[in-house]
Amino acid sequence: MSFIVSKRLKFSSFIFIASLLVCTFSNARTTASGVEIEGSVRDANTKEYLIGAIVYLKDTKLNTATNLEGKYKIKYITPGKYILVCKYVGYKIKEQELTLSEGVKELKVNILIEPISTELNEVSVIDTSINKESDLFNRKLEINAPSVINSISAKTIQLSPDITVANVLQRVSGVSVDRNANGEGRFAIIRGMDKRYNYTLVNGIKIPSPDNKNRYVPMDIFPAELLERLEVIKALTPAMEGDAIGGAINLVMKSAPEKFIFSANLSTGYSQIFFDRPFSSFNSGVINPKAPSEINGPTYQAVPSDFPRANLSYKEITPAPNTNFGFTIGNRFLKNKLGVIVAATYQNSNRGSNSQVLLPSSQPGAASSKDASLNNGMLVQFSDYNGRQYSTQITRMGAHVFMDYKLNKKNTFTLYNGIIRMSEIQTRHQIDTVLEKTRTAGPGTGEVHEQDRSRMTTQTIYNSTLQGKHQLTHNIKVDWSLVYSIATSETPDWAQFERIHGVSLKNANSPVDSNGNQVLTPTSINKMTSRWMHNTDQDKTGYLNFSWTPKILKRDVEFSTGGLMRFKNRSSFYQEYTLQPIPNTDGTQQLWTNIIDARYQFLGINAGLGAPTDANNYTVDENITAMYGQVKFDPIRNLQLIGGMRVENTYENYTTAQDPSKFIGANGTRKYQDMLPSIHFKYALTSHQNIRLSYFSSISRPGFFEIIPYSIPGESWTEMGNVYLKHTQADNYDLRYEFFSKGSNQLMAGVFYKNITNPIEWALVKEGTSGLILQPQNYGNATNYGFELVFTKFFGAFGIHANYTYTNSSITTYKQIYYHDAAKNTNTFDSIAQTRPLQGQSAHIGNFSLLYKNSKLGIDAQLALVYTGRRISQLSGYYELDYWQKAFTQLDFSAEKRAFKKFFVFVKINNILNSPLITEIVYPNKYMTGKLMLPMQDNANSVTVEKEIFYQTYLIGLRYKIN
Amino acid sequence: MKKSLLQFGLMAMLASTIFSCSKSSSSETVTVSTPPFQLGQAVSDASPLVGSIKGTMLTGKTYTVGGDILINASDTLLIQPGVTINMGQSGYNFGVKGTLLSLGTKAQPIWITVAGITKTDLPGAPMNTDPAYKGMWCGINCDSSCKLVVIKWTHIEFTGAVLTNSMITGNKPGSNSYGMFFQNPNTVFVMEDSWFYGALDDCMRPNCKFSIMRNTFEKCGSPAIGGDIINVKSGGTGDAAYNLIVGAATNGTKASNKGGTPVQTNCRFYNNTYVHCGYKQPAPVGRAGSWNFEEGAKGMAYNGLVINCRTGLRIVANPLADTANISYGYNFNYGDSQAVYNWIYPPADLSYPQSTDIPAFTPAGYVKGQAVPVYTYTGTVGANKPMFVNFPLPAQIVNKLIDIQAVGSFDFHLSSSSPCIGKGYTGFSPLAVVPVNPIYGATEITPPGADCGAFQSNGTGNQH
Repeated sequence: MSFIVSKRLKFSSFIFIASLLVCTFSNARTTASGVEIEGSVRDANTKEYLIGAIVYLKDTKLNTATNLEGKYKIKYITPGKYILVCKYVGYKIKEQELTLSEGVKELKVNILIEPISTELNEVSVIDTSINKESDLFNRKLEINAPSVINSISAKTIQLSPDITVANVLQRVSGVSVDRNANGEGRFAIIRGMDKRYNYTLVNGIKIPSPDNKNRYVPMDIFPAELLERLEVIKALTPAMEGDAIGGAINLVMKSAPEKFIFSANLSTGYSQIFFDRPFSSFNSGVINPKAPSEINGPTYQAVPSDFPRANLSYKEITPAPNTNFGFTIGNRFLKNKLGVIVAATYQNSNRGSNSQVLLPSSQPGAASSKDASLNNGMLVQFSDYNGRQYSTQITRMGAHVFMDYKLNKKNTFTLYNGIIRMSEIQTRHQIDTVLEKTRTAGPGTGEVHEQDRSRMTTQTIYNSTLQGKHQLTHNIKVDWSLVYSIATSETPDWAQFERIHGVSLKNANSPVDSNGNQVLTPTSINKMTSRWMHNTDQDKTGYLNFSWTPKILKRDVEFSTGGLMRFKNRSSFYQEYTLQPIPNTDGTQQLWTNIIDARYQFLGINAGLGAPTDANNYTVDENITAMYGQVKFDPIRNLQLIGGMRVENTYENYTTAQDPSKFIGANGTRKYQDMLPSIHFKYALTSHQNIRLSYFSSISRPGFFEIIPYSIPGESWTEMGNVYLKHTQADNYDLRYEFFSKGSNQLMAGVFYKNITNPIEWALVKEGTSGLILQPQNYGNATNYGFELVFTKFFGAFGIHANYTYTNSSITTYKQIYYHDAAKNTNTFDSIAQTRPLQGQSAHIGNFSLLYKNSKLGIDAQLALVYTGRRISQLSGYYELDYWQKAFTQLDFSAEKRAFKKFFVFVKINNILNSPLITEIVYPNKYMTGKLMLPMQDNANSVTVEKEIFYQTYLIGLRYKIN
Repeated sequence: MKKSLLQFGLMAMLASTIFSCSKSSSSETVTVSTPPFQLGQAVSDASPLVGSIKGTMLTGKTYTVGGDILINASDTLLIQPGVTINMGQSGYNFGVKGTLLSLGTKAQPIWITVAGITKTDLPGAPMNTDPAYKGMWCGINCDSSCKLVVIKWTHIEFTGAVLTNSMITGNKPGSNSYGMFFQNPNTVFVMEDSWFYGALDDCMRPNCKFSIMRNTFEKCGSPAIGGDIINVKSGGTGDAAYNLIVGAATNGTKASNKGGTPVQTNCRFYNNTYVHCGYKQPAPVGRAGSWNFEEGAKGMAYNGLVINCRTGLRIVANPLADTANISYGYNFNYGDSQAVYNWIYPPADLSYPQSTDIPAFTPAGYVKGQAVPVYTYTGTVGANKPMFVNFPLPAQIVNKLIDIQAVGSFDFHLSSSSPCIGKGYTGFSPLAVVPVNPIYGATEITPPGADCGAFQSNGTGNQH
């Protein structure tokens, strides 16, 4: 694997290389005449069409593989006697004799092959003889699932342009993602429900979050490669934890195989942005893992020499190519009783982005009257213009070991241990121009802050699950799980320092150069900030489930019951130090030379203590106990019903760093109980068609930090927690039609409706008489409805996969209007109701992929487009001044080609269109011309406030695979 | 004839004496003794004060603070004349959830200070070692429940330590404190005839109803951080007048409606004297000066006396002040150099030359109501010396204008030949949002004076 990229290689060169690859894929066959055999390959039991089955004539070089419709064709056969062989992973080899006589042009041979039966597989609901990582398995899973789910196979993930789970998620129907500063997906929004309304499972076990305030798990931490499949569960059964309103994301990790397997891959790539500008790197090795107050005790007064500066000294480099590698190895031992799989992956990539941001003043100009329509409304004003450059080195490591021990037919034990770690080493260079009061179209004037920031964050999730499954009698089963999980995040010495200079006015009053032009005033040093943040979220959980399946009226009826107990401890540490420059003795500013020689001091008694009682220091213990009862039976033929009730008890206890003798609410407790009924109907119209109808009741618990009555004074408003915040409850209804036809062809259409009580929204509220505070609040009721359409169709070697989701949510909250009260001749605030979609909800989201598969040549390729419609990315406290993210379209390409026997070459190109992510305020734009003109403005009806550009990324690699 | 004339004269004198005596006899001057005003129990000075305090601190006593102290929401602390409170150098916080009355007198002022500090007030004294910029305690921080704070004839000194806890809502641990902090538009704050010396950041944020009159502010705001003297945010309404402000880091008096209370910031700044302000703000351009209005604030700015400040009055265009409701004029500006005069009306701001200002000049190319690229002063530099009793001009600086930070031995009263006399505007009233009361309000809300600046030739105004 030597794919060397010269620094100045442009995108066009890449296209050229990519097209070369594609050309070699599609070299044409020689032509000749002869007999032609064609037909299909199907599962002898289920009659499923099988994709990629190998069909060949023994002792000849004539061979082929079934296409996406499960069909094959062998041409140019000389008449004679042959043995036709069909092979497929997980199936018995089938041979049949054929005689091709002269004069026959075509022969149709449909092949049925039988799966290899493995008796030990009884425990699992679904026939595991099919390769679990295949797309077919996942279609079967969807059709057999008790509730509404979407599933993506490892094979699909492998062939997709994505290397992280978050990016895969955006291709699932009804799911969109929030992006991080590198342009990669981070959080999933399911059916327009914000990340807070969803949870994440690993092998069906809920995992804790490394986030310092919230419950939701960043999905970009997971390398996609470790997955057997990815499920998005949109309707909860009583046996599932009840705190998802949008849905649950289940990461099913690779499980132990039936026989020896081995695969490995190695790839390399580059980001287009670093062809265009250098990567800014710093020495992260000097970073102190612990804060001075952790090393020396909380009463320690730090001194400037406690803070290394080398992590704020930057080098511009041409980064080494990105590297990814991973392997999976698995086998069965002890007469097939013990199965083991080990999978590990390492991804190291350098990402970058450039962005421009306008920072609004804390409050808009007053509207001329209270009845503000957009045209006489509040005037958004901007205080700063920021240009930002991010350079981020992201390292993801994941490893897991899965073991199953099949003691006998009735008792199985599994042990899963997995660790995922992501570290980001990020430089941010920011040039903050304070927008001068009077601007001209030419060069700006005023105050400029140059801010350099170094951040190293490491997030880790570890999960260990021991499970047992026992068949007690012929119709009673029990399974249990003991789980220990811990998620941590560490950000040691998040450091930023600032330099200030001025750009003089072009006039005689200001310093000018000899030609009368503007000059820069000397650059002086301003403050430096260092933060240490770390948090852990640790779960100890036990699950126990029973099921009893008696025959009642000659039908199987499954009664199940069970529950869980979870003890969660979460703690967050935060320390922040602010160092001030030492001015010159005469009171003038210290001039900038370099960060190492800059002289800093702690100013003010106790400045060296940092912020030991900062509100971000807290612990929360949460105990969840849940029980359920569920029944599953077929009341009539072809109709399956699952229904039941779940009870969840929540007890929370928090402690802050505040002194309880001085602060109200330094610690406290909360508890509540929820009864969550659900019922799911599945009616099989035919063996390939289902109609599903489900209702479930679910909740969403507030973030850990939100329930603490902290108070953090901000520039504009004080941000406060809300100990009286209620958890959100929802009634969810789903109706879905599913049609699975031959191969992977699929059609799903569904509608959903959610009625949400006490949704949590951050808003400005009046606190006493003193003013507005920013606080999470419950806002009555919200509704969310929509429909989903998934369509997959293959035409020979080509296929299209498309999904589309329409979502319409509505919530009414009070916003502030700042207006001129003519009667009193004063400017004041009032509350005004605004109805809007939920934050993060796009009316339209969709995916469209064009697939190409040539099993014979071993080629898979796809061009994938993701569309995320406009949505509110950030709420404003003011009426109609929310931040909207404009519709975003991303185009990615990936291809794989079998190179030698067991080797595959693959290429992935992301963000081909280099789509900018644009955020705007929908408001008449007064900043397009004249002296108020601002950068980025090109729309008279909206003000662009942020524009992020991520550039293309390229990856080329090699995969080796046995079985 | 001569004799009768003399007789008539004597009689006239006698008559007039009788007449005048009979007139004055209608109101006797009576003085009776009154017991000193006391509330609740006396505060003990036996051991250092920590935690909740209420009652009365007694005249002549010295109290030492040994931890954060707090006046609870329903409590009042009365400080009698002549009390000294030693706040120490440990960063203690003086929290007010109830009522604070610090009632000094001219003869017996109160000191809320740090013991054993030697002040260095000579021009050009090194700033890095100056105790005024060390931030020794956390100032007086008023919770939103605070009802009333009255400060009369009181010295408050050496504030600006870093906050270490959230005892008071709105205090952020890890941040530099302000000298005094208010956050409820309905809190009443009176500060009269007092002195404020030394602060690291803002001297005060009176986001409440206030009357801040006849005080002296020195050495507020460090050159590393900056800071305004009277920094009014949303919800602040009132009068700041007759104050002498020397060496403010950023602005002397500033009004902004930032912060989102329903009460629009409305300030009447008049008859203040600003001396050498704006030079300690770290930002090289674009902010700092003497006094300003920004971000939705309204009010009045009259009769100011602005000496050698970085700029004159600023009315900021972005974020825009409530320009329709700001009136100003009759302001006297002086500079030692052409550069100071050129920045009397900062080019990018919306404060325009007024014909009542001194010196009154119209810059070349000036169009009324429209900012022009440059306001170049074409008059004689330094011609309009304000003729202080003892502040020689050009200023006796060591090196730069920043060197003047304190009053020291200077005297900013106007000499009888001062051109500031009679140039003020008296045709408006104070906002007068606080009650007038010897204990629970302002002693006097002094109306606008006829002379520019804090010291009036008729003896009214600043009494220091």
